[in-house]
Amino acid sequence: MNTKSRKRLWIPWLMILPVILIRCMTTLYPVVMTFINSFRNMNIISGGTGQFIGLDNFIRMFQDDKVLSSLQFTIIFTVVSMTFHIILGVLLAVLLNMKFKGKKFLRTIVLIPWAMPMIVAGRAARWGFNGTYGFVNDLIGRLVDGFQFDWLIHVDTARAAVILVDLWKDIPFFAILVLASLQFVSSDIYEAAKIDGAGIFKTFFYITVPSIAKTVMTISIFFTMWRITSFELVYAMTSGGPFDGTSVLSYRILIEAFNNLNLGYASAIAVVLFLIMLVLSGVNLLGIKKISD
Amino acid sequence: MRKKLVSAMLGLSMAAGLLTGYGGQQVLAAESAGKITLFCDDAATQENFQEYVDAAEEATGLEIEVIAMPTNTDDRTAKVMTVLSSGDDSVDVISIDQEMLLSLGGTDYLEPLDDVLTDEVKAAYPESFIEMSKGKGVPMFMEIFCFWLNGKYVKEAGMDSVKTKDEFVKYLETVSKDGVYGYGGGWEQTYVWNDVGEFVNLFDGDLFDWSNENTQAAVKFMKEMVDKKYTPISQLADQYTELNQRIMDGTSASMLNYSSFMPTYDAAGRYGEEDIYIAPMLNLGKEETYANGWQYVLNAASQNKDEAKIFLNWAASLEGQEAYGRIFSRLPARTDVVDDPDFTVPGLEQLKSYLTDTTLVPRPLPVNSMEYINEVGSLFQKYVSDELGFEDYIEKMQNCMNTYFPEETGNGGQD
Repeated sequence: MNTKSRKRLWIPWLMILPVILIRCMTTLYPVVMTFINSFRNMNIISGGTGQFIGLDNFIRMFQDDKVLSSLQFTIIFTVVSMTFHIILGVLLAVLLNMKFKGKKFLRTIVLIPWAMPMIVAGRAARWGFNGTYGFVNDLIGRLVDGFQFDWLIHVDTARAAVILVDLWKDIPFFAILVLASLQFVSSDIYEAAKIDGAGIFKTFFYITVPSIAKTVMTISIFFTMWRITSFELVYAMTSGGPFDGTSVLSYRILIEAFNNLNLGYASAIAVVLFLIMLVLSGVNLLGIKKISD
Repeated sequence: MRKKLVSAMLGLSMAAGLLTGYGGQQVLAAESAGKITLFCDDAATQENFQEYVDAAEEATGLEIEVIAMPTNTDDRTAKVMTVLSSGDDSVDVISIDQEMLLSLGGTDYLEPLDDVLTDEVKAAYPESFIEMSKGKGVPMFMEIFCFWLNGKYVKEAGMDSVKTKDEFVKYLETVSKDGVYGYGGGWEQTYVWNDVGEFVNLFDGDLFDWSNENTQAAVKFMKEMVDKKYTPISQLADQYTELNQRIMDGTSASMLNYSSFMPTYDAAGRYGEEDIYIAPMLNLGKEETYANGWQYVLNAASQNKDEAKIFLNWAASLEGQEAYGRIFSRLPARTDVVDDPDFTVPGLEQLKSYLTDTTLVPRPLPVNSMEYINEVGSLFQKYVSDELGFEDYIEKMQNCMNTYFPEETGNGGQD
């Protein structure tokens, strides 16, 4: 690089400076403040003035049944939902990759749930799973005479309902992303496998799965993060109930920060959530590296 | 050359963007002079809200911009708390409920209204409403937690009145059949505390003392209603939206709910003694119920405090209260408006009977009210769902009260 070019380096830096400043203000500053606040008493209602309280917020968190219940459901929600996202998402992608009449139409309509805002889906699901007025009971009732079940008043079934709605909403998007990867797999490979006598299952496990594994792992990072940080569905569908059984950590943060005005405590939960996400992302990235190697 | 041109264009567009933003703020600042922004629940729930705004604008000469508030409790609380705690000055006057008022009354987010709440104004309102506001709120209307009946079922049960415990139980027994439940509640986690507190009131219990036999009898009675299928267990997921639907459909034959829902039934052509109506309050040991009310508060970050106080002065006045009550068919908070023989709203006579015959008490709420409401709701839901036994429930409720009401329970907050 000659002296003239080096001198001109300030021009691109100057051009991107506003973006860097905005990024610092909107991302770096809040993250740093969240870490700092997690060590302070910022319970506004009880007169907290931001005094340093060490690890008190973190200690309280691990003694708080509501936070522990939220942590438990966050893990269940993420693991179960991601397992089904991967299994059903890949199967749907394979289905959409097959040649059949109406394939384009199916590819289009399959994305409709994903296009719906989560809050709308959550409110609709609240009524959908309503024991008296819900269409879920109505549909099952057409197959099983006299069927009546109150989905949202038992912890287990309310959790299942939340996970079902999440799957209904986001599997199509997952599948479309996998489908994009599938379309890069040459049809010659499948034809060669067919000539060699490979059946459907062998073709799927020895050709399809290895071809899309890296893509699935990569998008799984994002989908896992979205599951962990998602609160809209719980917010709109169950408000964390019954008896806090469907509250996820991000929803608990919202309640602590904006309902209970306990910003320090909410920050501490957010820090723990951040660390969980950091670990999960690291594990996932290691997995991708292993596949690449 | 092309790179230089692109750089120059980008630089120019950035500068233009910054200047545009600055100019826009100037324009907004100029427009907000002499005008206030009202962030209000009624704007989302009352179809004729513009009529009220017109009346206020005519009386005050202000230009009032309105932002509708979310109607769901959680959404509403989160939104209001976010606006106030972030120092957002885009709204001046906010309507808030008792829960939020108690939480926010002790903070600096609300502007004190000593010059609006003069002694003369205070004297015109029920004392509990003024105490509730802590000098930072102007009461909008009075909500009474009423007993609602469906006239069709009362007739079917062959009863003249449903008032005493025996009559209420007979009503529940008689009408609870064929998909109809004698009683309906909104027992979702953040709503059920109203019913828990009110049944304790009606049984002459003491919410702060869970060793009290009447307090225990009240929650036992509620559980029995579920066990005997006088009320549906499915309502653990229901807020008042779903409850109102059940009352409209006739699948629930009675409820305890706020008087402010009356215009909803009236507008649907369903309010009346032959259909859905407010009956005299139950007396299951004591005739006592909650009186509550929303209040206007002034955002401390507001840039238009003087203009906002013009509006608040009008809202607190006889004229403002009369307009509010008349337009929304609600019971105004000012007692002199209610006493005015010329003033009338649907169901006023029944509500007047509450004012004269029923003991009206404010809902006991601690400053961290939302946390408390969730706790009470969660424990009751566990009890009704058999996740908690009766003894455990009673113990946990006492601990809950000791924590949130240390003075009232004489516990000093040790538990």
